[in-house]
Amino acid sequence: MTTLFELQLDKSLRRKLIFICLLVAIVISAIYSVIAYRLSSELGVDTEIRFLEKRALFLMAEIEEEGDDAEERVAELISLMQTTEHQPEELYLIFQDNEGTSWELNQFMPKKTVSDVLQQIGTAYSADNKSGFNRVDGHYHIWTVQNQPDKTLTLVISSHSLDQARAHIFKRLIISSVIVFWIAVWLALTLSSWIAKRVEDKNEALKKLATHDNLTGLPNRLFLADLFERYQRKHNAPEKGALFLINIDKFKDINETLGHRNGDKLLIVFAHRIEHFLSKDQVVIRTSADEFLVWVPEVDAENACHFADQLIATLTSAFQIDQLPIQLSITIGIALSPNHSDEIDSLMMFADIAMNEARKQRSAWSVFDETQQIEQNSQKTLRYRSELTDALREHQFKLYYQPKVDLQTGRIISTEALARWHHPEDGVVPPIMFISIIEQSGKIREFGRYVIKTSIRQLSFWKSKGIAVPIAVNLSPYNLLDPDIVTFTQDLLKKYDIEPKLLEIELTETATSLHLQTISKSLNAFKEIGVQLSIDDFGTGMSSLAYISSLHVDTIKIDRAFVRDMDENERHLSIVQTALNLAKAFDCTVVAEGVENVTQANLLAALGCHYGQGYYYSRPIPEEQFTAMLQFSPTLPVAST
Amino acid sequence: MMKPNLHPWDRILRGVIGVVVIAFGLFNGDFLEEPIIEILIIIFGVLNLVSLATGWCPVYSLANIDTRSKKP
Repeated sequence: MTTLFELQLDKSLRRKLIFICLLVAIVISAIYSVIAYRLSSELGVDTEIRFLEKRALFLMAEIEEEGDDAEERVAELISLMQTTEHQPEELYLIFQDNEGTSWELNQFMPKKTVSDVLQQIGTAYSADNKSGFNRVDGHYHIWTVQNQPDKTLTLVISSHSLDQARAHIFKRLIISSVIVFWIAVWLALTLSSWIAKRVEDKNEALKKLATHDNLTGLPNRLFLADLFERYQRKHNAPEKGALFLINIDKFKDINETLGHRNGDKLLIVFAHRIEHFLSKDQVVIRTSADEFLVWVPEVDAENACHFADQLIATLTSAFQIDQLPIQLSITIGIALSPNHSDEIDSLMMFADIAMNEARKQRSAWSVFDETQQIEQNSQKTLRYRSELTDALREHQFKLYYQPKVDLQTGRIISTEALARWHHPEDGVVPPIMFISIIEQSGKIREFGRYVIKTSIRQLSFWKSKGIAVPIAVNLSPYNLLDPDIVTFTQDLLKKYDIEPKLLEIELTETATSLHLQTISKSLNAFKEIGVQLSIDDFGTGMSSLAYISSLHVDTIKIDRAFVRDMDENERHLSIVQTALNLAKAFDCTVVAEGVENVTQANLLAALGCHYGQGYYYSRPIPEEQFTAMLQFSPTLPVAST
Repeated sequence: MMKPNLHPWDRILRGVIGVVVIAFGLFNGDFLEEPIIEILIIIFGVLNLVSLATGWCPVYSLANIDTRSKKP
């Protein structure tokens, strides 16, 4: 099962976010500082060079004008320029012309520096590059070479102002970088915690959505699985306790009677009552419409039973829905951890099995019984459920036939078709293993139609062989909710040209059987088209008499439970007699099921029972064998022999 | 909302930084020569002094940091 651990917030998320924000801030600050520094120093250098070029041009013009006195005039001008500066700048000037005149002027510039700078000018100078700056002896020196066709002036100054400007820019950039960094830290902290908080909130909401039921607000299966996993991770051992599966009996009926809105209300009130009953460490979750799970830690089997009693007492007192008191009946299945299993999925399955067991025993609760090895069966059930679709498609379900015999003559008067699953791995699987799976799987309509169709084809096949033996098929009450089942049957009967009276519907009364009224419509329609009706397992169902009186059945089949020991059990004998009288009164025939020996056959015949069915005559056999039986020995041993 | 979230040491540190930074912003002479930076530095200092006075840092509060209580 998916765990919620994936939803837990990564603790390092915030740290990572802060780290990333800071890193981005540092990188941006660095880029910004470098670019700003370079840009402004380039601008500064550029301005200085232009200024120097202008000075050189000015001096050049003066030299041109003065002619021979140029050297003195230039020296005078330069000293004039120097007086405007705070600090006399180092300056070097050299003039050459084509006539061989050459003079230089040096103010405060060391000789070595001059030669170094001149050397660098020699390499850097070109027609396109007449000015530039070099770093010599830790100082910036700006130079320019001004050419005219017949003379050249080279001017070099040591630039203090450039150093000053750079230091100035650097200082400001450092301070503003610190401020930017400080703002970035702010932003990093705020942004990271804001994002982390949002993620956390979303996670919480998602978690709530994933682990809680919308209607009742109770946690769901995922929550419990998560709880289990957390405990196991923390303690490295399975949690001790008991899992209670609470099922509201016949909740569907409540929904149908009161409406879904009131059904929902009832569920909410029901859920709240469970919640109030539980202590803090106990958990209730809703698993499906009418099923709740309660997890009670630290209890043993004995306490669990006691707890179940209390729970039942609490939940069976009346609920008020719209001023209408509603009394619920509930069934509880109990599974213990770690006695039965330490895995939540298995515990849920075991609780479910226990709940079904309680239902069968008509008991309010039941503890899962390991010794029955039901686990294997339920795993098989799960497997069968998944294989059902393929089985139906591949016609793995075969009909076996068991004869119904006239007790007086031994003649086969009819047959009951019983489904068997020819499972590719497990061999022939009896109906008890798969009927309920089919009923729960939603495939019951498809299955019912399949059985009817196979039976009608069989009738058609027998008809071609000159055999006319009716087939009784077992239909689940759910089949009768299929609105088109009657039309479907009628069409098939017409198609294969089979008399409707050759088909008989056997209806089993089950504890969960649906309302008589809802299915009586289909049953009456079957009657109308001429299909025979019979009640199966008569005497064990809940509403036998109501069925018979209102449905006009043709046949009732007395349950094997009464027939099997009627020669020894007076009470069962009385029931059989009563059923026979009843059948007489309702003018229907009687078939005794489970006839296993000649004594029973004789006794039934003596009581006036018409027909018998059971292992004494034949067990259910495959179609080919049964056809052979019909062809070659249609008369079976009679009762009196 | 204004629940103090600063440890005394945190407050003292902020106080010192605040005073130093404001003093620098006001009395740096010709060092900075940039009014915008001076104003920013003074704001930074004042905010530090506000934190010293109230024992509360708005950024800590937003970022859910608390140096006052033991719990992080």
